Order: sequence, then C-alpha cells, then structure tokens
Amino acid sequence: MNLTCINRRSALKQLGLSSLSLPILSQSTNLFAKDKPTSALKQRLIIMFSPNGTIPGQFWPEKIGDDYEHKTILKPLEPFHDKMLILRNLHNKVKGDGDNHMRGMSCLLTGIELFPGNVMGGGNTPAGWPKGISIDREIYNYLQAKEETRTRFGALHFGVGVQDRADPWTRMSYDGPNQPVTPLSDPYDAYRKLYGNVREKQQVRSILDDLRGDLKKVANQLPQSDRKLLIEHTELVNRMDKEYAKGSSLTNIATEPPELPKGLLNQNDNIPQLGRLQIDILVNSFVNDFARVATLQYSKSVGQAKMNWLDINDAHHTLSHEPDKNKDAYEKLVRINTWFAEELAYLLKKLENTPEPGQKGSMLDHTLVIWTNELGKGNSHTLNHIPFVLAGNGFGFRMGRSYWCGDENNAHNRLLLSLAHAVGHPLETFGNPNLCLGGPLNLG
Amino acid sequence: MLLKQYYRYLFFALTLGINSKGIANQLDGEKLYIQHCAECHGDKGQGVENEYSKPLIGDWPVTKLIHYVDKTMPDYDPNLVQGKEADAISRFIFTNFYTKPELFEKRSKVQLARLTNRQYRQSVTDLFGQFKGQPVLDNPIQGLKGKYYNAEGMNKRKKIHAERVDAMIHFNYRNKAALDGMNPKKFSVYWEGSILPRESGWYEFFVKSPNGFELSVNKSVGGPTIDEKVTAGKLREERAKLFLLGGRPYPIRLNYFKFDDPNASIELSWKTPSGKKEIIPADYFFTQVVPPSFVSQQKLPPDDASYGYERGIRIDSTWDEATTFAALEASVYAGKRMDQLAGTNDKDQNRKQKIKTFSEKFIHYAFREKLSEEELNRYVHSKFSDDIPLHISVEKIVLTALKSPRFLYPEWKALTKKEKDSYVVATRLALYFWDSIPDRKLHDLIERNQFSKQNHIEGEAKRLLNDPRSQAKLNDFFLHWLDMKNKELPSLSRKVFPEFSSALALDLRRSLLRWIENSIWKQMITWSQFLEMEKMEVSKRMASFYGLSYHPDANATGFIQMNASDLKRQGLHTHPYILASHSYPEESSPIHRGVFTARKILGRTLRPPKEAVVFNYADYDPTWTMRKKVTELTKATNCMSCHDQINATGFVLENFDATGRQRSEIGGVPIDLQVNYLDDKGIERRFLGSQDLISHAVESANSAKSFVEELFRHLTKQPVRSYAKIDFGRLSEMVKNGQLSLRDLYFQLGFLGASDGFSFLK
Repeated sequence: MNLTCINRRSALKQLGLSSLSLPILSQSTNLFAKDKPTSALKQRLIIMFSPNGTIPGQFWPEKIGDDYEHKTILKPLEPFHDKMLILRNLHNKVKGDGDNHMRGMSCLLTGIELFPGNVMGGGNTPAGWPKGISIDREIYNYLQAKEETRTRFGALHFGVGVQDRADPWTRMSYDGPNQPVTPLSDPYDAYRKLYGNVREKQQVRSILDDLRGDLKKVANQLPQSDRKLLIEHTELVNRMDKEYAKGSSLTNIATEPPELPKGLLNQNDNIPQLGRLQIDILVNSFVNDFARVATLQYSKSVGQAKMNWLDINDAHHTLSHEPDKNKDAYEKLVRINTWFAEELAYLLKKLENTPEPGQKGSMLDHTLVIWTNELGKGNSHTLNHIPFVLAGNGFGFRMGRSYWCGDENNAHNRLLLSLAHAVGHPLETFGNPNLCLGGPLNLG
Repeated sequence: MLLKQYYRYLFFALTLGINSKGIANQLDGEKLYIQHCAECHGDKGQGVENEYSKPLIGDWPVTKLIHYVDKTMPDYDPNLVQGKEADAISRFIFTNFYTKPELFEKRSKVQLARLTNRQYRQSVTDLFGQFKGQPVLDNPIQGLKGKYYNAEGMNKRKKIHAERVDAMIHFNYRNKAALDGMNPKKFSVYWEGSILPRESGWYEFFVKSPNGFELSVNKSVGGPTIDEKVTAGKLREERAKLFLLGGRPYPIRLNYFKFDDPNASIELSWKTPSGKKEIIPADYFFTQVVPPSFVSQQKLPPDDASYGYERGIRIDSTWDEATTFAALEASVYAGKRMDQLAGTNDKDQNRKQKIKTFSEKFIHYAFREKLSEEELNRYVHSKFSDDIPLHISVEKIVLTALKSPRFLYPEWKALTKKEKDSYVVATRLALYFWDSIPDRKLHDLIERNQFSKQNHIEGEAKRLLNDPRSQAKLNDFFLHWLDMKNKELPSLSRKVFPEFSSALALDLRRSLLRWIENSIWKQMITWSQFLEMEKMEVSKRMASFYGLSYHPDANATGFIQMNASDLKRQGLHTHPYILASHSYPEESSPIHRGVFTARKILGRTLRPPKEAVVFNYADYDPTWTMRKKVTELTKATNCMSCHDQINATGFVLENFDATGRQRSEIGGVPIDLQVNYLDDKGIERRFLGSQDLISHAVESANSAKSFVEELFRHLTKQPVRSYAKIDFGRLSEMVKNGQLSLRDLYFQLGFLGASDGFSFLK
C-alpha cells in the first residue's frame, strides 16, 4: 500500500487514532513530514487499579454517548465528564490455569494466559506467572528505546497498601514471561528512588547539633593527647552537615518534591494518606519528566483492606463475596468503590492543575489515565464487563462519552492494542493473538 | 601481617663516605660503629630519618649478626668492614641495643580508638539483643526439622504425612513423592530450624528447584528472603545475599511446594565468605528455632590492619558515612519494631511510657554507663513530643546513640583515669571477650554494687568466657592467625591434581576449624598440644583422598575424629589445609610454608624482602627438586639473612606434596629432609623432619611469647606494652609449660587487660 497517497485522517482512523497522536506517529514513520512539529507532544499513561470487582448497578452509566450519567460510584468524577471515556462491553477472555482473581489481575495488562504452576486459588487449577509482557511495560520499552521519548526512569510503579508478597494476585505489571515487576508500595521508598535519601539526610541533620555537643564533652574530659581523633571527627560532622544541607541529589530537577510527613507508617489505616502521597509523588515525577508511564495499584486482587476511614471495619475481599441481597455489604461496597473514584478524581484534578512543562495545556491534556479492576463484579467473580474508565486527552481518543465497544464479545486485548497504537507503536497483536480479533478499538 | 615487627628488624643501609684508614689498632666496637654505621643507624641505633629510620633491633644470634655485617655492610661497599672489625661492631650493637627493644619504645598507653567493624556489628546486634534476648542454641540437635504434607498447591496444607530431621536440603524426587506413601503429584515440605555460620561476612544463599519455594533467613519484618512460590515448573536458581555474624544462630525456614509439575527437586546451598558454593553442610543446621536478630547489612570500610591486628585508630568521611547509614538502618528497624522491643502494643495504655523506658535503656546500654537526669532529658525525653509520631522519636534516639562518640569510642572513659569506675571494667570485659557491649547482667551487678571486688569481676569474666561470643571471637583470631581470613581456598592445578576439588578444599578448612573449636573449648588443650595436633577431624572426602579408611559414625556432620598419626601428621603445620594453602598450584612451596612456620609456629620475626623476587618454574632445570630450586633462588647473602630460617622451616615439609599428601621421593629421588636451623638463641639445630621442628617449637619461649602477644593484641586492639601490670613473660612461660590451657590464656588475657588500671575494692 502506498501510504503517502492515502488520506491522512482516514489512515489515522484505520489505526484507531485521532490527530492528537499524529506528531508521535509522524516521528516514528516520517510519513507526514510537513506536519512534523518542532517539539513532539508528550504522551503519558497512568493505570490505576482497585480490586475485588465493582457494583455494576451503581457504576455503569445507562446511556451510551456524550450525555452519559454519573451514578453513585462515578459521581466524584462528574467534573471531568468531558474528559472521560467509559468503555463498556470489554471482557477479560483469557482462559486457562488460575482462578478468576488471579487471571483477572495478572492477565489484565498482559492479555495472555498464566503458566501452569502451584499457586492455588479458590477455584479452577493452580497457576504461575503470566506468559507475556504487560502493556504498560511494552509502552515503556517502546518509549525508552527512542531518544526523544526516553526519560530517567521511563516507568514508575506505585503501590498503596500492597502486601509484601509476590504472587499472581499481587502483581499486574510484567517485563515478560515469568517476570513480575514489583511496585514501590511505600511512599518513602518511592521518594528515595526518585529524589535520593532526603528524609534520612534531614533526620541525620536533626541530631548533628547534639552530636557536636557530645564530641565536645567527651573531648574535654580526655587528656589533650587523646583529643586528635575527636577533633577530626568533629570536622567530619561539620562536613556531613554541609553536604546534607545541599541535598545534592535534588539538583537539576524542575520542581521540588512534595513535602513528606514525618513517619507515616505503611499500614492499613494510613492507606488514604499513603495513596495521596503516592499520587503527589507520581505527578511530581511527571513534572520532572522522570517517567512517561506509571501504575498506581491499590491493595491487590483478593486484597483485604479494612477501610476504617469509611467506617467500614470489614475486610474488602470478604465483603465482596456477599450476595447482592446483603444490603449492608452492597452499600459498603458502593462506598468503597466511590472512595476509589474520589482518589481518581484527586489524581485527575492534580493533573489538570499542573501545566505540562514546555508544552501547551495541562498535564491531563497529555495523559491518559485508566482506572480498572480485575473483576467485573466481586461476588460472581466474573471476568466479563471489566471496568475501564479512561480520562485525559493524552492518547488522542475522543473523550466525553460512554462507549459500547461493538456488539461482539470484545476481548480487552483490543484496548491494550489501542494503547500501543496510540503511542505510535502499531502492534498487530498483543497478548494472546486470538484475543486480538478486530484489532485496536476505534476510539478516535 | 606483622609489619611493625618487620620494621623493627635489623637492616643496614647506606653508610656515607667515611674514610677507613684510621682504624684503631685496638678494636673499639663503639668507635667503629660511630665511624661506619652511625650516620645511617644513629649513634644509639635509633635510626636516621631518610636513611634507615627504624631502630636496630632483632632476634638474630650474635654469630649471625657478625656474619651479616661482615658480608653485607656497609651496603655501598661490603668490603669496608670485615673480619675483626665486623666482629667488634656486631658485638657492640648486640650488647648495647640490638637485644633491647624496650630502649626504643616510648612507654605507650591505651590509645583512643573507635569501634572496629567487628566490634561495631557485634555491639549493634547485642544492643537489640538486650531487649529481645540472645538467641542461644540450648538443645543443639543437628539438621533441620522437615514437615511433610500431602497438599494441594502452595497455600493448602492438607494433611501432615510425616515429620523428620533432614541433615541437608539436597533432594531430587524426580516424578516421585518426597516420601513413600505420599501423593507424588501434590506435596509440600516445610523445613525449619537454625543456621549457625562460623565466620562473619557476606553469605549468599541459593535455592534451586523447578517447584515453588520460599526461603527466610533471620527474617523479622517483611516477606521471605527469597520468594519463589510462584513457579512455571522450570528449574531455576534464585539467590539472596546477607551479612551474618559468625558464632550466632539465626532462624531459617524453607517452604517447598510441588504441584503437578513433572519433576520435583530442591537444593539449598550457600557461598560463605571464603567463597566456594556448596550445599549447606549438616554441621551448620540445628533443629531448634531461635528468634531473629538484628544484623547490620551496611558495608563498612576495612579497618586499619597495618600492625597485624584490626584497630580503629583512623576515621575518614567514608567511615563516617558508612556508620551513619548503619545507624539509620538500625534506627528504622527500631522504629518499626519498637512495640516488640519495649514489650508493648498499640492497645496498651502505658505504651508511650514503655517506649520511653526502652529508649532510656537503649541509650544506657549504648553508652555503657549510667546517665544523669540531665543527660536522659537531652538524649531521650527531649525527643518525644505530642506532634511527633512515637516511632520517629525512637528513630532519633537510636540514631543519636549510634552516632555518639560515647558509643563509637568504647574505651574513652578508661582514658580519663576512672580507676574506680565499674563501667570501665565492664566495658572492657565485654569488648575484650566479645568485641561487644556489656550485657544486662553486668549492668545489673553494677547497679547493685556487686561489681568492684576482684572476685566479682573475675567471676563475671568466667561467665563471659563461656558465652558463645567468646568462642566466636577466638575463632576470628584463629582465622587471622592461620592466614585464612578473607583468603580464597587453596586452588590447585586440576591437571596435576585432578582429584583435589574445591569441595575437598572446603572440607580441609572445616576440618582444621572444627578441631580448633573442639580442642580448645571442650578438651581445653595447651599450647604444646595445639602445636602437636594429635587428633584430626576427617571427612569422607578427605579419607578417600588421603587414603584412609572411614567409618562414619552417627553424627550428621560427616566428620569423624582420627589420630593424626594415622594420616602421618606431625603437628599443626602438617595439617593438609595448611600445606595446601601454602603451595603453588602444581608444587609445594617451601617458601610459603617456611614463612608460615617460622612466624607462627616458631614465633620468629621476618621482614619483607628488600625486593620481591618471583619464582618462575621455567627458570630452572625441570629435573631439580623444589629444594634445589629454592636454594638456588635465595642463595644471595642478602636473601639468606631471612631465608636461612624460611628455607629450613619449609624444607622439612617437603615430604608433603602440594595437596598435603605424604611422599617419600620426588621423581624417583628420595627426599632430603634434613636441615640446619639457627634458633633465636644462636643455637644451630638439626631437624630431620617436621616432628623435630615441632619438638623445638614446644620448648621455645619465643614461640609461646609471640602467640600470647598476638592473641592479646587481637583481644584488646591495643599494643601489648600499653598495659602496665600484665607480665607477658610470666604468662608466656606458663603457656609454654602447659600451666595454662589456651582457653585459660584467653581468660587471663581478657581479664587482666580489662582490669588493668582498675583499683579493686578490697
């Protein structure tokens, strides 16, 4: 096919893209030289995960199209109505080993089966890790391979209340077969990775005056001839003080990192603050252009967070097993999912209020945020109708609508494929090729 | 290495142009010395800066000194001083200062020193141990306890099938079940117990299996050390590196899951600080589960070891930064574990008070003294306030404690003339016996005024001696003394010695260390018994290599004790590890063996060669024996000043090849073992083999003295002469005569060193 002859818009349409992603495409293919901008538009991707299924009746809008309504769970996102795209009728159709929680989680971003293994869930056969890479890491690899989109870290993976264990319920990002990527689930660890050990340095500096006093006291009690080492020691303390005051690891960044509170423990009850901190750090890392891809994982599949801050003392996963007729559980699960929507709203607001450095518009204009879940519904454990709420204009999709992804049984692999295409990486298939029938979704 | 001793060693350097015409008829040694030697060596033998700066002292007999001066001095024209002149000069030197090292020693005293790395790590671990209790193996059954389950996948233990003790984790079940009668498709095994590494350092653990597994070593917070419970049935090996302190047990747990995978196997190995990977041998496992301990994982820069022992006399920014990170690591740990450390929980009404009490005690133990109210306010109470989370206060207090000079310079109080301060003695006892801090018992006794009389302190010293930490410290000394510390295993040519495997080398090393540990602590051997080494620990591999019959007994370690004479050994220096580790890859090395034997067994002082000479096989006729080659290489007078000792003490070991196997001929020619050895008294001795050498060593005062002093320096990290009241001559004599066992020697040195300068309450 002679690509130079075809109509530009229709070509893009075929690829499932709008003109917003054009600059990236044109860079990689050099097809549309006259449109090539001097500086490519940045594209960023954030995937936010919350577990244990949603409450469909209080989640999905009834109406398809621009005037979709926000039911209880999506109410907090109303201010972003025009920047949202709610994808309906997408199903995780990956079969094979592993219970639904496991496949829900580990096939969510990989779209491929799990290896047979020995992790035994509540049903079905036991399984191991997935057989392939996840889409966030695929895009990360793609962006890092090119000089113009390469960033310091490329991708960052944040966790909130993720337990310290490694299994297919706890990981969603993968570098390839059998290669789980561990999220940074403590904001202090994330902070250290990004900005160096600033907290430790502050902590050390806070005791240096005491230390100098100590050195002096000890030295004064010693005979003159024994003081030499302590004098040297005092010089070292002064030197460290000066060095740590500079915060050397913080040079060459566009903006100061967020202020971290002292001593917030990585515990269940702190999940709300921990989550906000992770979001603050995430957005800050984007402002500093440390990465173009990020994931934000709340808890894990089968996660048992106890949301005391919502006056819910039951464990999340246990609650999600309750039948619909258990009104108390139903109402609590609605509150839990609404709370996640509020956290998403916080993230979106933050992105909206942050100008994209060096480019026009807000950071939300350059970012696509996807909020998803490993199950369609908690008590049925269904992998059908997986929640995919998209927000932000970064990938050139037409936003401000709810969208029915065709009448056929759509595998969610098609969405994963669309994401790759939107950054100019026109893969033919992603994950299990048989689940890519129809190619990328037409979201332009 | 004993550099200081080298420096003390005799060496004559340039003598500048003094005319020799005016030699007096009457040979006046002093006058001749001033004329020919003083310009470089100083008028009193004290040395001259930029010429020969070290004092003229050493342990040669006068006859050897005369010979040396005659042949080599002054070194720009050795013909200038000869015959009677050399004789007169040498006798003058010999009687006036050569044999009197004390003339050149400024009265040294204990120097202010920071904690060495070993002391730092031991102290920090024990600081936390004060609150959690020391993990002790009080029922040492070897092996790991294995619980065998019929299971459905990793997270379902269906039914326990059997429980038993496994010596090592090295199983290949293939497609079968772990035990008969189990479901071969689905089973799991949970092993647990303790691991007791003998040396301190970095240990790398490896687990190899196609199935699921989780390994936890000394874990108190967070997930397992290696988390591989998710599996795809592919054989893989995962690893994790940990710093562990030798002589202390740590909890270990290995969970293993097989589910439907076609094959099943599991292998637990490690790489110890000496560097070879092996299946973890049985003698490191114990069935008893001990609680985890805090062990700093921070890398610390090496200590100054230029005087032959590690001491903390230098600090720099690398050290400052490393100890700061180590303090941070410990502070974060304390913050996370404060409830357990303080014996409380978040529902306890007195939680804050208990955490404050913990913090006060922590500072108290770290500073090794009682703190005043004012100090407690400054170090502890001022760090708590309502707007700071509790764990942040705890972190600050721990950081302050571990960064403070009161913690880092353990003997600072001793230098302030605190001759009645019981804390000074307690601090030194713990430091000299364990490289650590005084334990709770010592603190309690001081608080009850029961730690100021000699019998109190001596009694406590005995208690400290019997603690495993003393054994660990003595082990550390022997690793150093035997040239094993941070040394690679002997690695010989596979072509020449195809059967000498690294596994055998590891066994040899273990054999030596096991024997030392047992004989010193259980059999309480003396110095002469140590040198004579009548028994040896022998593994199956060793027995087969050295041609011995091996009858395994019930113990799980794989080592049995045999008479060393069955292996044709005549003393410590003939242990195959020592022989093999002092060899070239293809041949024995009389030089390396000789240096070891002369220094350690005979206590002689050797200085490093003026210029390094490389021994090269190709330079010699291949039909020559090693003895002939080395004799040729070292024949120059300059070399022979030391090589007469080295060669003699090395050649007597030529009946052992590079692997330590006995031989009676080389290339069809019988081996000539006879040597002449000039001892430190100037007596020429004839040795007909290694047995004669050991017989001489056990009679030699020099030999015992050198060992005693080296052990003392290792215990105290201070020069011997810093301690006014210790009579090393008498102690050495007792050691030589067998009146003190080596264990008692350790006790005496630790006790006398710690109480030196203290005025006991009568």
